[in-house]
Amino acid sequence: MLTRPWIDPRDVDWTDPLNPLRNPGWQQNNNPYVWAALKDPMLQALRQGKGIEPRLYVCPDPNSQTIPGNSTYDYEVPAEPNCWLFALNASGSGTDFLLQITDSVTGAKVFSQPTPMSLINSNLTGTSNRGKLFFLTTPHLFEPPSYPVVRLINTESTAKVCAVNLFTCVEYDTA
Amino acid sequence: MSPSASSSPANQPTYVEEPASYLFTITLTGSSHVDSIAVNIDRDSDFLLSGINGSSTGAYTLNFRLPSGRLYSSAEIKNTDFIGTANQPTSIGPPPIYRAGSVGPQMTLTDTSTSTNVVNILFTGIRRVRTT
Repeated sequence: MLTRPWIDPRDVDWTDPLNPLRNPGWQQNNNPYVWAALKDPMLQALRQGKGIEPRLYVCPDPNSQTIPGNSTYDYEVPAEPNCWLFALNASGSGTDFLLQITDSVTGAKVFSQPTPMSLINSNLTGTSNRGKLFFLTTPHLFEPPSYPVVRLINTESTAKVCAVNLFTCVEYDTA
Repeated sequence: MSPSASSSPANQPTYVEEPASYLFTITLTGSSHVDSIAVNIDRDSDFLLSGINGSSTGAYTLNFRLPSGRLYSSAEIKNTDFIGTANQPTSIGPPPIYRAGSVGPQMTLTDTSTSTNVVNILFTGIRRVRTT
């Protein structure tokens, strides 16, 4: 039990019908990965959104697009309104590149400075029990007319593929 | 049954939840593209998709449809960026619920290995069986 992450009960929505912690018939032993995903406080919070639907944005589009050597490329993500960014990962054909994600309206940045792809490399295991996803510590809402801007910086001298994948969900009914 | 009767607590349907996995298998030929391949959901239960893992003999890109019919991804994503492993399935969240008897997460795949590519994808989640 000591290896299990502690979750503050105040962070758990006990009215959520998908919450396995409130369902006595659903135990971790049934399927630990489903159990872990469903009891995640962040996903529980996102499930409470109205008309929520997951979305994945591949940046740039297509993901096989190359970025010229020693150059910076800004990709304006065609995100739908009320988009919640909660996880990401990245990959590339070179050894590494730098990336940054910025809110187009507020200017808020996910990283304090452009961050190496190697830190969120999809070849690595992401956040525990989330597969290839690297979860943010808290989801970021891109409120209309805001959208994410992904900055890709190819630090190598030749053209390379620099791909970032944004795992989001869209809240349709915000009334 | 009238709408008012169906909304009373006494008449609410009851469900049993069980672990469930749907296996999708396809053999892609070199650089081939397939579109909207159904992953049929059993008629006796809804399916809540919470994770994806799989294996393949080569590289490919993929996309799939949500219960609403919308595509999950803005563009096809590389399998190496998305498909998890058996001990670390990629978390799908918030988990979409595919209705019983639906066509499920219809798959779109493109082979990028330029050779024969055997693709196995396991959709893991919860089966919600209606008991009353």
